[in-house]
This record gives sequence, structure tokens and C-alpha cells, in this order.
Amino acid sequence: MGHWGFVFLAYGIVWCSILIYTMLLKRRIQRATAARGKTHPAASEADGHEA
Amino acid sequence: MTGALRQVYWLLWKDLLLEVRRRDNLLSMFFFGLSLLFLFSFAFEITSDNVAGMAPGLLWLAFMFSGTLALGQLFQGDRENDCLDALLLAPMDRGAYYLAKVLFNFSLMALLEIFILPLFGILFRLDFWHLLPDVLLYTLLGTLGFCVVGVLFAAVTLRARARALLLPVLLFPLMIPVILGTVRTLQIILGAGAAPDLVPWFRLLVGFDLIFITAGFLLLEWVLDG
Amino acid sequence: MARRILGTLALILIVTGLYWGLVEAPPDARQGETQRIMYLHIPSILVAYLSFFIVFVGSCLYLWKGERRDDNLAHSAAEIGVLFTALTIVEGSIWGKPTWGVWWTWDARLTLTAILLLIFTGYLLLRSLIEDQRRAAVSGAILGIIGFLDIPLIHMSVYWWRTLHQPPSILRPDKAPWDNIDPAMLWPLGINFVAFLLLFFYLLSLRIHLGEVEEQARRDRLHDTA
Repeated sequence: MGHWGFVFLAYGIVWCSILIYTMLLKRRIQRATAARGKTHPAASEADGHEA
Repeated sequence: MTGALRQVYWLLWKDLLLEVRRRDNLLSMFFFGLSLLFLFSFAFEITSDNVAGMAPGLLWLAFMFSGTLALGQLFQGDRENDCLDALLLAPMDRGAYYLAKVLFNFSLMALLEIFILPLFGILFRLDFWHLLPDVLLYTLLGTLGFCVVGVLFAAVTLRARARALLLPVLLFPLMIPVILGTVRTLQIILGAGAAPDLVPWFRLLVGFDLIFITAGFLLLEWVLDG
Repeated sequence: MARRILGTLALILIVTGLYWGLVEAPPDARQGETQRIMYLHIPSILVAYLSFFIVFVGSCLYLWKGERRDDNLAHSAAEIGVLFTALTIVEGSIWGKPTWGVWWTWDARLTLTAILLLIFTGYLLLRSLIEDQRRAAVSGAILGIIGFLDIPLIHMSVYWWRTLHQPPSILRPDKAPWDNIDPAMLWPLGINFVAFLLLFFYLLSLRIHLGEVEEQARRDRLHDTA
């Protein structure tokens, strides 16, 4: 009574989705910081390291 | 307290008077409900054997869709002539405005239901005439629940893009206790089910009405401000 | 810096949880290897519930004090809650196929989870459809509060809807899943739960930071045009 296929499908979907979401969040933060940097270079340097 | 009640009365009076003069909501709701009944007869094979089981669901769908149409128009009249701004400037309790709108939408839907219920019985040969008072009671309890949450979200979505689509998307999942409550109670009544089975659903419907009329009364203030 | 430590800790525990869940834990006597999906399923739904509780708290705080920070918290928690609710449904569906033989059944818990997903995707949709930031925050807060208050009522109605009509399904709300669980399975479950919790707080702090940066960018733009 195996069903490893189902197990790996579930684990694969979950961890891939979470990884993709995390990467999307980081990219959104970078973009927002960069957009800020265009008008306020000093401000973006101040919190740039956090992203 | 009496002052707030008088405010509710006059605000409701204003809406009802406009409705009596113009009749635009009620007529379109009525014809919309009627056309839904016709669509049901084409979409489903309704016979005298299965009509008692299907009637609650079909009726409640018709009421809910028509009610959603009415909710979409609820604040239009007040917005058109900047009447809403004037109302907000007036020394008026925001809660009174909410209650008046709930009562107005409730009366529209109740009138529609009083039209549609007998019509449904005639069109689909549903012999429920002796049960009509019970059916009406639970339908009205559910309708009140629909209105107390519906009015709040009609106000919330007032300034959103695509608000005609957004309102049912937000409203229908929140309405599930009301839908299940009314549909199940009507099925119990029409199927001559045991009266004790009605009790939990009755409590659920009354509880829903009370919780959300309080929540709406308190929350509408934030929606209207600004 | 604190966030980086949190993220590293979460990653270590996730890897440990993967090892325990996939290798150390024995296969279940009845369900076989598919039982291993539960090591993801139970932590994800608990995290989803936690995030909707945070949405409720953040919404109440925002309406009370009107601070952007609280609204940002609620909005961030809602986004992560939607992700984990969706994952819960996917895991449950993949678990259900070999166990029940179907991808989906109208079981009370499955239905409730799906309704939660509908309500809180509605929350994200509502916010994205309102331009004015303050108005979007107020509208979101109201949906966050009403949605949370509605959860127990939806739970009751959906549970009655199923149990009054058919015998209780495998997952019964009155019986906690860990009541009859083997200690060898409790360990991987516990590790995964802590891992998901840390992951949740890591994602939440990341999302809150995003909200703050976006807010600052908006303020800068306003400042420049003024």
C-alpha cells in the first residue's frame, strides 16, 4: 500500500508554492525600494540593505 | 432613543416615498424574479414529485439574486444629487441611516417574496397554501439576515471599481448560514419534517440577524466617513 | 537581521520536518504512505486560521486607532492566509484521492475551508479594487471583522447541513485528529507545526516590510507632486 506518488505531489506543490511566494515577495520589495530610490536616493540606501 | 427612532422613520419614509413615486426598484425586481422562475422551468425538470424538495433552493436563489440587484441600487439615489453628503452633514446618527437602509431593502425584498411565493405555487403546482405563514416567517428571517450584511457591503463597495461584480462575490460566501438556514427550514416545513429539527436552524437565523445587525450598526460609521 | 535569523531557523526546521515526515515516521496502518501528507495538511490549516485571527485583530485595531501599521498587518496576514488555505485544500484533495477515491467531496470541513478561501480572496480583491488607500483599509477592516465573526456561524451551518443528512464523514469536527495518534507520528507533526509557524512569521515580517516600503514610496510621490 504505497502511494508515494501522491505524497511527493503534495510535498512538491506545497514547497514550490511557498518558495515562489517568498521569491515574489523579495522581488516586490526590491522593486518598491528601487522605485523609491529614483526620487529619494538617500532614503533607499537607508533601508536598501533590509531587502 | 426616540430621537434615533424618529430619524430611522423619516429616512425610511423618504426612500419609500421615492419608491412609490418612481417604482423603478420594485418593478425591475419583480420582473427579474419572474424571469428567473421561467428559467428554472427550462433548466430543471420540475414535476409534482420533486417540487417540494427543489422549491426552497430555487425560491431562495430567486430572492437572493433579486435582492443583490436591489442592494446595488440602494445608495444610488442618495449619491446622484449629493444627497448623501447633505445627509452626512445633518445632525443624524449614522446607525439610524444604516437601519433605515436595512428596513428599506428588507421591505422591497419582502414585497417581492409576497408576490413570488404564491406565483411559484401556481406555476409549479406546489400545494403549500396551508404552510404559507411558516414559509413566510423563515423566508423573512433569512431576508433580514441578507439585508443586514448586504447593506453594509453595498456601502463598502460603493466606491470600488467593478462594484456590481464585487458585491455578490463578497456577499455570497458570507451568506452561507442564511442560505443553508432558510433552505433547510423550508425543506423541513414542506417535507412535513419534525418540528424539533427546526429549532437549531431557527436559533442560527435569529443569531445571525442579531450579530450582524449590531455589527453593521456599529461599523457603517467608518464606511460613510471620508 | 532578526528576520534573517527567523528565516534560517524556519529553513532548518523545515528540512528536519521533511526528514522526519518522509523518512523517520512509519507509514499509517490504514492509510499507508499518504498519511505523510497530514504532516503538511494540519500545520497549514492551523497557520491559515492563525492568520485570519490576525486579520481580525489588525482590522479591529485599525478601526479603533486608525494607524496604518495595523492595517498593513491585517492586509499582510490575509495574503499569507489565502496562500496557506489554498495549499490546505490542495493537500486535502491529493490526500483524498487515494483515501476516499475522489478529489473532492462536500464534507463539512472541506466545504468550510473552501468558503474561508472565498471570503479572504474576496478581501484581497476588494482591496485591489479601491484606489484610495484609506478607504481600501477601512473596507478591508470591515470585511476582516465580518468575515471572522461569520466563521463560527458558517461552521455550524455547514456541519449541520452535512450531519443532519448523511452519516459523519471520516474527519469529524467533534474528534481531534491527534486523539488516536501514534507518538511516532506526533513528533514529525510537532516539528512540522513549529516549522510552519516560524515560516509564517518570517513571511509575515517580509510582507509587512513590503507594505511599509510601498507606503513610503506612496508618501514620497505625494510629497513630490505637492
